[in-house]
Amino acid sequence: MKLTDRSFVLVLLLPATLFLASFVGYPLFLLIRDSFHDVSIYALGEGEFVGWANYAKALSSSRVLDSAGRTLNYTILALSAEFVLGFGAALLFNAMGKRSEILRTVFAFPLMIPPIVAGLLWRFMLIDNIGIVNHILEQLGLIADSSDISWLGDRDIVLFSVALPNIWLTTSFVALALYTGLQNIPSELIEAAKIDGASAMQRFHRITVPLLRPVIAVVLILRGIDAARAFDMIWIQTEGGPRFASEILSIHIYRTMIRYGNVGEASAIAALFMLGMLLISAMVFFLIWGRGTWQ
Amino acid sequence: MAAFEAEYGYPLAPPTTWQEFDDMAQFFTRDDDGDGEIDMYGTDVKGGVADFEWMIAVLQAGSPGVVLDADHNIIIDNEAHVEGLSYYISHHCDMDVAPPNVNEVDWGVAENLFYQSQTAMFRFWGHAYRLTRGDSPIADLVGAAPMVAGPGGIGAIPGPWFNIVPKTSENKELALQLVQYLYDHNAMGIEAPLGLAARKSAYAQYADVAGFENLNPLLETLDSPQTIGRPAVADWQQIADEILGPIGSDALTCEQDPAELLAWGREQLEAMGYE
Repeated sequence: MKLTDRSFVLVLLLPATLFLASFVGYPLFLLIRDSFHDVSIYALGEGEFVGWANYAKALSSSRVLDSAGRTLNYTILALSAEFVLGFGAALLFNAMGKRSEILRTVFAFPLMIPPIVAGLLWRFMLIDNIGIVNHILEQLGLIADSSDISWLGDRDIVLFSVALPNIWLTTSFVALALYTGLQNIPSELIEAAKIDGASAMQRFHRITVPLLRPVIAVVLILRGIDAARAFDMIWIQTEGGPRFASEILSIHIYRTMIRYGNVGEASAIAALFMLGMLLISAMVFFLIWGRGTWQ
Repeated sequence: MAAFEAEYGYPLAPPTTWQEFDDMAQFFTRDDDGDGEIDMYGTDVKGGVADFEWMIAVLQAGSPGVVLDADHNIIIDNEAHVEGLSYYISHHCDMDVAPPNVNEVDWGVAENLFYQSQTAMFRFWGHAYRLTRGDSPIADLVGAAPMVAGPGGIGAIPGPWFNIVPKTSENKELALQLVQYLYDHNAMGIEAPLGLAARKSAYAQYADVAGFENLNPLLETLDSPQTIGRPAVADWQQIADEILGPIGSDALTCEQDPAELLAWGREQLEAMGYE
Protein backbone atom coordinates (compact mmCIF):
# COMPACT_ATOMS: atom_id res chain seq x y z
CA MET A 1 0.00 0.00 0.00
CA LYS A 2 1.30 3.38 -0.91
CA LEU A 3 1.07 6.11 1.73
CA THR A 4 0.03 9.56 0.70
CA ASP A 5 2.14 12.45 1.99
CA ARG A 6 -0.60 13.41 4.38
CA SER A 7 -0.88 9.85 5.82
CA PHE A 8 2.91 9.65 6.11
CA VAL A 9 2.94 12.83 8.16
CA LEU A 10 0.20 11.46 10.41
CA VAL A 11 2.11 8.20 10.96
CA LEU A 12 5.23 10.15 11.90
CA LEU A 13 3.22 12.27 14.33
CA LEU A 14 1.51 9.29 15.94
CA PRO A 15 4.19 8.32 18.52
CA ALA A 16 4.58 11.89 19.74
CA THR A 17 0.78 12.32 19.83
CA LEU A 18 0.36 9.13 21.86
CA PHE A 19 3.12 10.19 24.23
CA LEU A 20 1.63 13.65 24.72
CA ALA A 21 -1.86 12.26 25.14
CA SER A 22 -0.66 9.80 27.83
CA PHE A 23 1.77 11.96 29.75
CA VAL A 24 0.39 15.46 29.24
CA GLY A 25 -3.23 15.16 28.13
CA TYR A 26 -4.32 12.54 30.66
CA PRO A 27 -2.73 14.20 33.75
CA LEU A 28 -4.21 17.49 32.57
CA PHE A 29 -7.62 15.86 32.31
CA LEU A 30 -7.23 14.52 35.88
CA LEU A 31 -6.24 17.99 37.11
CA ILE A 32 -9.28 19.63 35.52
CA ARG A 33 -11.57 16.85 36.75
CA ASP A 34 -10.24 17.14 40.33
CA SER A 35 -10.67 20.91 40.22
CA PHE A 36 -14.45 20.39 40.04
CA HIS A 37 -14.50 17.90 42.92
CA ASP A 38 -13.93 18.03 46.66
CA VAL A 39 -11.05 15.54 46.74
CA SER A 40 -8.95 14.67 49.78
CA ILE A 41 -5.39 13.44 49.41
CA TYR A 42 -6.32 10.48 51.61
CA ALA A 43 -9.01 9.32 49.22
CA LEU A 44 -7.84 10.09 45.71
CA GLY A 45 -10.24 9.12 42.98
CA GLU A 46 -13.21 9.71 45.27
CA GLY A 47 -14.85 13.05 45.82
CA GLU A 48 -18.07 14.94 45.54
CA PHE A 49 -18.77 17.11 42.48
CA VAL A 50 -18.79 20.73 43.61
CA GLY A 51 -19.02 22.60 40.31
CA TRP A 52 -17.15 25.89 40.25
CA ALA A 53 -16.87 26.07 44.07
CA ASN A 54 -13.11 25.42 44.13
CA TYR A 55 -12.56 28.14 41.54
CA ALA A 56 -14.77 30.59 43.43
CA LYS A 57 -12.87 29.84 46.64
CA ALA A 58 -9.51 30.29 44.90
CA LEU A 59 -10.50 33.58 43.28
CA SER A 60 -11.85 34.99 46.53
CA SER A 61 -8.95 33.84 48.71
CA SER A 62 -6.60 36.64 49.71
CA ARG A 63 -3.86 34.04 50.18
CA VAL A 64 -4.18 32.94 46.53
CA LEU A 65 -4.37 36.49 45.21
CA ASP A 66 -1.37 37.56 47.31
CA SER A 67 0.61 34.55 46.06
CA ALA A 68 -0.33 35.43 42.48
CA GLY A 69 0.91 38.99 43.03
CA ARG A 70 4.17 37.72 44.50
CA THR A 71 4.57 35.31 41.57
CA LEU A 72 4.28 38.23 39.18
CA ASN A 73 6.73 40.35 41.19
CA TYR A 74 9.19 37.48 41.51
CA THR A 75 9.00 36.73 37.78
CA ILE A 76 9.44 40.36 36.77
CA LEU A 77 12.34 40.77 39.20
CA ALA A 78 14.18 37.61 38.15
CA LEU A 79 13.47 38.05 34.45
CA SER A 80 14.51 41.73 34.36
CA ALA A 81 17.78 41.05 36.14
CA GLU A 82 18.54 38.00 34.01
CA PHE A 83 17.68 39.84 30.82
CA VAL A 84 19.70 42.98 31.55
CA LEU A 85 22.73 41.04 32.80
CA GLY A 86 22.40 38.36 30.10
CA PHE A 87 22.01 40.88 27.28
CA GLY A 88 25.01 42.83 28.58
CA ALA A 89 27.11 39.68 28.69
CA ALA A 90 25.94 38.63 25.21
CA LEU A 91 26.93 42.01 23.76
CA LEU A 92 30.28 41.74 25.50
CA PHE A 93 30.89 38.24 24.13
CA ASN A 94 29.87 39.42 20.67
CA ALA A 95 32.23 42.37 20.83
CA MET A 96 35.08 40.15 22.06
CA GLY A 97 34.60 37.69 19.18
CA LYS A 98 36.70 34.55 19.43
CA ARG A 99 38.44 35.77 22.57
CA SER A 100 35.23 35.16 24.52
CA GLU A 101 35.41 31.35 24.13
CA ILE A 102 36.80 30.60 27.59
CA LEU A 103 34.61 33.22 29.21
CA ARG A 104 31.51 31.72 27.60
CA THR A 105 32.43 28.27 28.87
CA VAL A 106 32.98 29.55 32.39
CA PHE A 107 29.76 31.53 32.17
CA ALA A 108 27.83 28.35 31.41
CA PHE A 109 28.94 26.58 34.59
CA PRO A 110 25.96 27.61 36.76
CA LEU A 111 23.63 26.00 34.19
CA MET A 112 24.96 22.61 35.27
CA ILE A 113 24.05 23.11 38.92
CA PRO A 114 20.73 21.61 40.01
CA PRO A 115 18.32 24.33 41.26
CA ILE A 116 17.92 22.67 44.64
CA VAL A 117 21.69 22.75 45.16
CA ALA A 118 21.82 26.40 44.08
CA GLY A 119 19.06 27.24 46.53
CA LEU A 120 20.84 25.48 49.36
CA LEU A 121 24.16 27.13 48.49
CA TRP A 122 22.62 30.59 48.50
CA ARG A 123 20.67 29.88 51.64
CA PHE A 124 23.84 29.23 53.58
CA MET A 125 25.59 32.16 51.92
CA LEU A 126 22.76 34.53 52.82
CA ILE A 127 22.08 33.44 56.38
CA ASP A 128 23.00 36.50 58.35
CA ASN A 129 24.91 35.22 61.35
CA ILE A 130 26.94 32.51 59.64
CA GLY A 131 26.64 33.36 55.93
CA ILE A 132 29.53 34.55 53.79
CA VAL A 133 27.61 37.41 52.08
CA ASN A 134 27.12 39.42 55.26
CA HIS A 135 30.60 38.47 56.43
CA ILE A 136 32.10 39.97 53.25
CA LEU A 137 29.88 43.06 53.49
CA GLU A 138 31.05 43.48 57.07
CA GLN A 139 34.71 43.08 56.10
CA LEU A 140 34.25 45.69 53.38
CA GLY A 141 32.79 48.04 55.94
CA LEU A 142 29.44 48.25 54.14
CA ILE A 143 27.55 46.98 57.16
CA ALA A 144 28.51 47.33 60.81
CA ASP A 145 27.52 43.87 61.93
CA SER A 146 26.93 40.55 60.17
CA SER A 147 23.37 40.53 61.46
CA ASP A 148 22.49 43.92 59.94
CA ILE A 149 20.83 42.53 56.82
CA SER A 150 18.43 39.66 57.28
CA TRP A 151 18.27 38.52 53.67
CA LEU A 152 15.92 35.62 54.23
CA GLY A 153 14.22 36.85 57.38
CA ASP A 154 13.16 40.36 56.41
CA ARG A 155 9.72 40.34 54.80
CA ASP A 156 10.53 43.43 52.75
CA ILE A 157 13.51 41.98 50.90
CA VAL A 158 13.03 38.22 51.04
CA LEU A 159 11.44 38.01 47.58
CA PHE A 160 14.53 39.66 46.14
CA SER A 161 16.82 37.35 48.13
CA VAL A 162 15.13 34.15 46.96
CA ALA A 163 15.38 35.41 43.37
CA LEU A 164 19.18 35.68 43.61
CA PRO A 165 19.96 31.98 43.01
CA ASN A 166 17.53 31.98 40.08
CA ILE A 167 19.30 34.98 38.53
CA TRP A 168 22.71 33.50 39.25
CA LEU A 169 21.74 30.16 37.76
CA THR A 170 20.06 31.22 34.54
CA THR A 171 21.60 34.52 33.45
CA SER A 172 24.07 32.40 31.51
CA PHE A 173 21.24 30.75 29.55
CA VAL A 174 19.88 34.17 28.57
CA ALA A 175 23.37 35.37 27.66
CA LEU A 176 24.19 32.33 25.52
CA ALA A 177 20.81 32.33 23.74
CA LEU A 178 21.08 36.05 22.93
CA TYR A 179 24.71 35.63 21.92
CA THR A 180 23.64 32.98 19.40
CA GLY A 181 21.05 35.42 18.09
CA LEU A 182 23.65 38.18 17.80
CA GLN A 183 25.90 35.84 15.83
CA ASN A 184 23.15 35.39 13.26
CA ILE A 185 22.79 39.09 12.49
CA PRO A 186 24.37 39.59 9.04
CA SER A 187 27.58 41.57 9.44
CA GLU A 188 26.91 43.34 6.11
CA LEU A 189 23.98 45.16 7.69
CA ILE A 190 26.13 46.46 10.51
CA GLU A 191 28.88 47.41 8.04
CA ALA A 192 26.42 49.23 5.80
CA ALA A 193 25.01 51.13 8.77
CA LYS A 194 28.51 52.13 9.81
CA ILE A 195 29.26 53.41 6.31
CA ASP A 196 25.99 55.35 6.40
CA GLY A 197 27.24 57.03 9.55
CA ALA A 198 24.95 55.35 12.11
CA SER A 199 26.21 55.66 15.68
CA ALA A 200 26.66 52.61 17.92
CA MET A 201 23.38 53.40 19.72
CA GLN A 202 21.54 53.80 16.41
CA ARG A 203 22.92 50.48 15.15
CA PHE A 204 21.82 48.84 18.41
CA HIS A 205 18.29 50.27 18.26
CA ARG A 206 17.70 50.04 14.52
CA ILE A 207 19.44 46.77 13.65
CA THR A 208 20.43 44.64 16.62
CA VAL A 209 17.22 44.82 18.68
CA PRO A 210 14.74 44.42 15.77
CA LEU A 211 16.63 41.44 14.33
CA LEU A 212 16.96 39.87 17.76
CA ARG A 213 13.26 40.20 18.46
CA PRO A 214 12.32 36.53 17.81
CA VAL A 215 15.17 35.34 20.04
CA ILE A 216 14.21 37.85 22.74
CA ALA A 217 10.60 36.59 22.58
CA VAL A 218 11.68 32.97 23.00
CA VAL A 219 14.04 33.84 25.85
CA LEU A 220 11.44 35.93 27.66
CA ILE A 221 8.72 33.30 27.30
CA LEU A 222 10.94 30.36 28.30
CA ARG A 223 12.58 32.11 31.21
CA GLY A 224 9.37 33.83 32.27
CA ILE A 225 7.50 30.52 32.50
CA ASP A 226 10.46 28.94 34.23
CA ALA A 227 10.73 31.73 36.81
CA ALA A 228 6.99 31.85 37.45
CA ARG A 229 6.84 28.14 38.24
CA ALA A 230 9.92 28.19 40.49
CA PHE A 231 9.50 26.00 43.51
CA ASP A 232 12.52 24.05 44.70
CA MET A 233 14.90 27.00 44.92
CA ILE A 234 12.50 29.00 47.08
CA TRP A 235 11.25 26.10 49.15
CA ILE A 236 14.76 25.08 50.18
CA GLN A 237 15.56 28.66 51.20
CA THR A 238 12.47 29.83 53.08
CA GLU A 239 9.55 27.41 52.55
CA GLY A 240 7.69 30.53 51.44
CA GLY A 241 8.29 32.43 54.70
CA PRO A 242 8.63 34.49 56.73
CA ARG A 243 4.88 34.78 57.06
CA PHE A 244 4.29 33.85 53.39
CA ALA A 245 6.43 36.80 52.20
CA SER A 246 8.20 34.57 49.65
CA GLU A 247 5.29 32.26 48.91
CA ILE A 248 4.59 32.21 45.20
CA LEU A 249 1.75 30.27 43.56
CA SER A 250 3.62 26.99 43.07
CA ILE A 251 4.43 26.89 46.77
CA HIS A 252 0.86 27.73 47.69
CA ILE A 253 -0.40 24.95 45.41
CA TYR A 254 2.02 22.47 46.97
CA ARG A 255 1.00 23.55 50.46
CA THR A 256 -2.71 23.24 49.66
CA MET A 257 -2.36 19.88 47.97
CA ILE A 258 0.29 18.03 49.95
CA ARG A 259 0.31 19.66 53.37
CA TYR A 260 -3.40 20.43 53.69
CA GLY A 261 -4.60 17.54 51.53
CA ASN A 262 -7.11 19.67 49.57
CA VAL A 263 -6.52 18.20 46.13
CA GLY A 264 -9.62 19.77 44.56
CA GLU A 265 -8.80 23.29 45.69
CA ALA A 266 -5.14 22.92 44.71
CA SER A 267 -6.17 21.63 41.27
CA ALA A 268 -8.40 24.67 40.72
CA ILE A 269 -5.57 27.06 41.66
CA ALA A 270 -3.20 25.11 39.39
CA ALA A 271 -5.66 25.28 36.48
CA LEU A 272 -6.05 29.04 36.94
CA PHE A 273 -2.27 29.41 37.19
CA MET A 274 -1.84 27.48 33.96
CA LEU A 275 -4.46 29.59 32.20
CA GLY A 276 -2.77 32.79 33.39
CA MET A 277 0.61 31.59 32.15
CA LEU A 278 -0.87 30.68 28.76
CA LEU A 279 -2.45 34.11 28.40
CA ILE A 280 0.70 35.97 29.41
CA SER A 281 2.86 33.80 27.12
CA ALA A 282 0.49 34.40 24.21
CA MET A 283 0.57 38.12 24.91
CA VAL A 284 4.38 38.23 24.99
CA PHE A 285 4.51 36.08 21.87
CA PHE A 286 2.25 38.37 19.84
CA LEU A 287 3.67 41.59 21.25
CA ILE A 288 7.29 40.80 20.52
CA TRP A 289 7.47 38.09 17.91
CA GLY A 290 4.26 38.92 16.09
CA ARG A 291 5.15 42.57 15.82
CA GLY A 292 8.54 41.74 14.35
CA THR A 293 7.04 39.48 11.67
CA TRP A 294 4.38 41.99 10.79
CA GLN A 295 6.94 44.74 10.34
CA MET B 1 31.94 28.35 87.15
CA ALA B 2 32.15 30.26 90.37
CA ALA B 3 31.42 33.41 88.36
CA PHE B 4 27.90 32.20 87.70
CA GLU B 5 27.27 31.35 91.35
CA ALA B 6 28.68 34.70 92.43
CA GLU B 7 26.31 36.50 90.08
CA TYR B 8 23.13 34.45 90.44
CA GLY B 9 23.49 32.91 93.89
CA TYR B 10 23.30 29.22 92.99
CA PRO B 11 25.71 26.77 91.37
CA LEU B 12 25.77 26.30 87.63
CA ALA B 13 24.00 23.09 86.61
CA PRO B 14 21.69 22.13 83.74
CA PRO B 15 18.67 24.46 84.01
CA THR B 16 15.43 22.96 85.27
CA THR B 17 13.12 25.99 85.27
CA TRP B 18 12.39 28.99 83.06
CA GLN B 19 14.14 31.24 85.58
CA GLU B 20 17.31 29.13 85.63
CA PHE B 21 17.27 28.84 81.85
CA ASP B 22 16.96 32.62 81.53
CA ASP B 23 19.77 33.22 84.06
CA MET B 24 22.10 30.89 82.19
CA ALA B 25 21.12 32.25 78.78
CA GLN B 26 22.03 35.74 79.99
CA PHE B 27 25.23 34.52 81.64
CA PHE B 28 26.48 32.81 78.50
CA THR B 29 25.57 35.66 76.14
CA ARG B 30 28.95 37.32 76.01
CA ASP B 31 31.47 39.31 74.06
CA ASP B 32 34.61 37.32 74.82
CA ASP B 33 37.13 39.38 72.86
CA GLY B 34 35.75 42.79 73.79
CA ASP B 35 35.16 43.96 70.21
CA GLY B 36 31.61 45.00 70.93
CA GLU B 37 30.10 41.99 69.18
CA ILE B 38 28.47 39.04 70.88
CA ASP B 39 30.62 35.93 70.34
CA MET B 40 28.26 33.48 71.95
CA TYR B 41 24.57 33.67 72.69
CA GLY B 42 22.87 31.88 75.56
CA THR B 43 20.35 30.12 73.33
CA ASP B 44 18.43 30.46 70.08
CA VAL B 45 14.92 31.44 69.12
CA LYS B 46 13.81 29.37 66.16
CA GLY B 47 11.59 31.82 64.31
CA GLY B 48 11.99 29.69 61.18
CA VAL B 49 9.77 27.07 62.82
CA ALA B 50 7.46 29.58 64.46
CA ASP B 51 4.50 27.33 63.65
CA PHE B 52 5.72 24.88 66.28
CA GLU B 53 8.37 26.13 68.67
CA TRP B 54 6.31 28.52 70.82
CA MET B 55 3.72 25.88 71.63
CA ILE B 56 6.21 24.00 73.78
CA ALA B 57 6.32 27.00 76.12
CA VAL B 58 2.50 26.95 76.15
CA LEU B 59 2.55 23.44 77.62
CA GLN B 60 5.26 24.42 80.09
CA ALA B 61 2.99 27.29 81.14
CA GLY B 62 0.36 24.70 82.10
CA SER B 63 -2.10 24.60 79.18
CA PRO B 64 -4.12 21.36 78.93
CA GLY B 65 -3.14 21.17 75.27
CA VAL B 66 -2.05 23.29 72.36
CA VAL B 67 -4.55 25.25 70.29
CA LEU B 68 -7.42 22.78 70.92
CA ASP B 69 -8.25 20.77 74.04
CA ALA B 70 -8.90 17.03 74.13
CA ASP B 71 -12.44 17.59 72.83
CA HIS B 72 -11.13 19.85 70.05
CA ASN B 73 -12.52 23.02 71.59
CA ILE B 74 -10.51 26.20 70.99
CA ILE B 75 -8.09 27.06 73.79
CA ILE B 76 -5.60 29.06 71.73
CA ASP B 77 -6.35 32.24 73.68
CA ASN B 78 -6.20 30.82 77.23
CA GLU B 79 -3.80 32.32 79.79
CA ALA B 80 -1.15 29.66 79.32
CA HIS B 81 -1.01 30.37 75.56
CA VAL B 82 -0.47 34.06 76.27
CA GLU B 83 2.15 33.29 78.91
CA GLY B 84 3.90 30.69 76.70
CA LEU B 85 4.00 32.92 73.63
CA SER B 86 5.26 35.85 75.72
CA TYR B 87 7.99 33.65 77.19
CA TYR B 88 8.98 32.32 73.76
CA ILE B 89 9.56 35.81 72.36
CA SER B 90 11.17 37.18 75.54
CA HIS B 91 14.60 35.68 74.71
CA HIS B 92 14.57 37.75 71.53
CA CYS B 93 12.46 40.79 72.42
CA ASP B 94 13.42 41.43 76.05
CA MET B 95 16.60 39.58 76.97
CA ASP B 96 18.56 39.62 73.68
CA VAL B 97 20.09 36.23 74.52
CA ALA B 98 19.56 34.74 71.05
CA PRO B 99 21.03 35.54 67.60
CA PRO B 100 18.90 38.50 66.47
CA ASN B 101 17.65 37.49 63.04
CA VAL B 102 15.34 34.87 64.41
CA ASN B 103 13.31 34.35 61.24
CA GLU B 104 16.28 32.65 59.62
CA VAL B 105 16.80 30.20 62.45
CA ASP B 106 15.13 26.87 61.80
CA TRP B 107 16.17 23.39 62.93
CA GLY B 108 19.18 23.21 60.64
CA VAL B 109 20.48 26.69 61.45
CA ALA B 110 19.92 26.11 65.18
CA GLU B 111 22.07 22.99 64.93
CA ASN B 112 24.78 24.87 63.05
CA LEU B 113 24.81 27.69 65.59
CA PHE B 114 25.14 25.22 68.45
CA TYR B 115 27.75 22.99 66.84
CA GLN B 116 29.79 26.08 65.88
CA SER B 117 29.69 27.16 69.51
CA GLN B 118 27.65 30.27 68.78
CA THR B 119 24.92 29.26 71.21
CA ALA B 120 25.51 27.75 74.65
CA MET B 121 22.21 25.90 75.03
CA PHE B 122 19.67 24.73 72.53
CA ARG B 123 16.32 23.08 72.99
CA PHE B 124 16.03 20.43 70.39
CA TRP B 125 14.73 16.99 69.55
CA GLY B 126 16.19 14.36 71.89
CA HIS B 127 18.26 12.60 69.25
CA ALA B 128 20.42 15.68 68.54
CA TYR B 129 22.80 14.73 71.35
CA ARG B 130 24.21 11.87 69.30
CA LEU B 131 24.47 13.99 66.16
CA THR B 132 27.24 16.24 67.50
CA ARG B 133 29.86 16.16 64.79
CA GLY B 134 33.34 14.96 65.62
CA ASP B 135 34.97 18.07 64.12
CA SER B 136 32.79 20.46 66.09
CA PRO B 137 34.65 22.68 68.58
CA ILE B 138 32.22 21.44 71.22
CA ALA B 139 32.52 17.71 70.45
CA ASP B 140 32.72 15.79 73.78
CA LEU B 141 31.46 18.87 75.63
CA VAL B 142 27.76 18.35 75.00
CA GLY B 143 25.33 17.24 77.69
CA ALA B 144 21.61 16.57 77.64
CA ALA B 145 18.97 17.47 80.21
CA PRO B 146 15.18 17.15 80.45
CA MET B 147 13.23 19.99 78.87
CA VAL B 148 12.97 22.95 81.24
CA ALA B 149 9.86 23.39 83.36
CA GLY B 150 7.62 26.42 83.32
CA PRO B 151 4.93 27.17 85.91
CA GLY B 152 3.07 24.07 84.71
CA GLY B 153 6.06 21.72 84.84
CA ILE B 154 8.30 20.05 82.28
CA GLY B 155 6.59 20.15 78.92
CA ALA B 156 7.34 19.19 75.34
CA ILE B 157 5.60 18.08 72.20
CA PRO B 158 6.59 14.62 71.02
CA GLY B 159 7.23 14.25 67.32
CA PRO B 160 5.28 11.13 66.46
CA TRP B 161 6.01 9.12 63.36
CA PHE B 162 3.02 8.01 61.38
CA ASN B 163 2.77 5.01 59.15
CA ILE B 164 -0.32 5.57 57.07
CA VAL B 165 -2.16 2.91 55.10
CA PRO B 166 -4.27 4.82 52.55
CA LYS B 167 -7.91 3.85 52.22
CA THR B 168 -7.35 3.32 48.50
CA SER B 169 -4.31 1.08 48.98
CA GLU B 170 -4.58 -2.26 47.20
CA ASN B 171 -2.31 -4.15 49.60
CA LYS B 172 -3.61 -3.10 52.99
CA GLU B 173 -2.79 -6.45 54.57
CA LEU B 174 0.87 -6.27 53.58
CA ALA B 175 1.08 -2.66 54.72
CA LEU B 176 -0.38 -3.55 58.10
CA GLN B 177 2.17 -6.34 58.45
CA LEU B 178 4.94 -3.82 57.83
CA VAL B 179 3.48 -1.42 60.43
CA GLN B 180 3.28 -4.30 62.94
CA TYR B 181 6.93 -5.17 62.23
CA LEU B 182 8.03 -1.57 62.72
CA TYR B 183 6.12 -1.47 66.00
CA ASP B 184 7.58 -4.72 67.30
CA HIS B 185 11.17 -3.90 66.31
CA ASN B 186 11.05 -0.19 67.04
CA ALA B 187 14.34 -0.18 68.99
CA MET B 188 16.23 -0.86 65.75
CA GLY B 189 15.72 2.80 64.92
CA ILE B 190 17.85 3.93 67.84
CA GLU B 191 21.03 2.59 66.31
CA ALA B 192 20.13 3.93 62.88
CA PRO B 193 21.92 7.16 61.80
CA LEU B 194 19.24 9.51 63.15
CA GLY B 195 18.79 7.49 66.35
CA LEU B 196 15.02 7.80 66.41
CA ALA B 197 12.36 5.53 67.82
CA ALA B 198 8.64 6.03 68.41
CA ARG B 199 8.10 4.00 71.61
CA LYS B 200 9.27 4.72 75.14
CA SER B 201 9.99 1.02 75.64
CA ALA B 202 12.49 1.21 72.78
CA TYR B 203 14.30 4.13 74.41
CA ALA B 204 14.26 2.37 77.80
CA GLN B 205 16.24 -0.53 76.31
CA TYR B 206 19.14 1.82 75.53
CA ALA B 207 18.78 4.30 78.40
CA ASP B 208 21.74 3.00 80.40
CA VAL B 209 24.04 2.20 77.47
CA ALA B 210 27.17 4.38 77.22
CA GLY B 211 26.80 6.97 74.44
CA PHE B 212 23.02 7.23 74.92
CA GLU B 213 23.08 9.65 77.87
CA ASN B 214 20.31 11.66 76.19
CA LEU B 215 17.73 8.92 76.64
CA ASN B 216 17.04 9.18 80.39
CA PRO B 217 16.40 12.96 80.15
CA LEU B 218 14.27 12.24 77.09
CA LEU B 219 12.23 9.63 78.97
CA GLU B 220 11.79 11.99 81.91
CA THR B 221 10.49 14.66 79.51
CA LEU B 222 8.17 12.20 77.79
CA ASP B 223 6.78 11.03 81.16
CA SER B 224 5.85 14.54 82.28
CA PRO B 225 2.07 15.18 82.34
CA GLN B 226 2.65 18.41 80.42
CA THR B 227 4.23 16.57 77.49
CA ILE B 228 1.25 16.46 75.17
CA GLY B 229 1.00 15.69 71.46
CA ARG B 230 -0.53 17.96 68.88
CA PRO B 231 -4.33 17.69 68.52
CA ALA B 232 -5.30 14.78 66.28
CA VAL B 233 -7.30 16.76 63.74
CA ALA B 234 -7.14 16.22 59.99
CA ASP B 235 -6.43 19.88 59.23
CA TRP B 236 -3.62 20.29 61.75
CA GLN B 237 -1.04 21.15 59.12
CA GLN B 238 -3.28 23.90 57.80
CA ILE B 239 -3.70 25.27 61.34
CA ALA B 240 0.07 25.19 61.82
CA ASP B 241 0.92 26.88 58.51
CA GLU B 242 -1.92 29.38 58.29
CA ILE B 243 -2.42 30.33 61.93
CA LEU B 244 0.40 29.27 64.26
CA GLY B 245 3.26 30.28 61.95
CA PRO B 246 1.90 33.80 61.38
CA ILE B 247 1.21 34.22 65.12
CA GLY B 248 4.78 33.18 65.99
CA SER B 249 6.28 35.33 63.22
CA ASP B 250 4.23 38.39 64.12
CA ALA B 251 4.98 38.01 67.82
CA LEU B 252 8.71 37.91 67.03
CA THR B 253 8.50 41.37 65.51
CA CYS B 254 8.19 42.44 69.19
CA GLU B 255 5.62 45.00 68.11
CA GLN B 256 2.41 43.05 68.54
CA ASP B 257 0.59 42.04 71.67
CA PRO B 258 0.59 38.21 72.13
CA ALA B 259 -2.96 38.27 73.54
CA GLU B 260 -4.26 40.12 70.47
CA LEU B 261 -2.47 37.74 68.13
CA LEU B 262 -3.99 34.77 69.91
CA ALA B 263 -7.45 36.36 69.74
CA TRP B 264 -6.89 36.59 65.97
CA GLY B 265 -5.97 32.90 66.06
CA ARG B 266 -9.33 32.10 67.69
CA GLU B 267 -11.15 33.96 64.90
CA GLN B 268 -9.28 31.97 62.27
CA LEU B 269 -10.06 28.68 64.00
CA GLU B 270 -13.72 29.63 64.24
CA ALA B 271 -13.70 30.37 60.52
CA MET B 272 -12.41 26.83 60.00
CA GLY B 273 -15.39 25.47 61.93
CA TYR B 274 -13.95 25.00 65.44
CA GLU B 275 -15.72 26.32 68.54
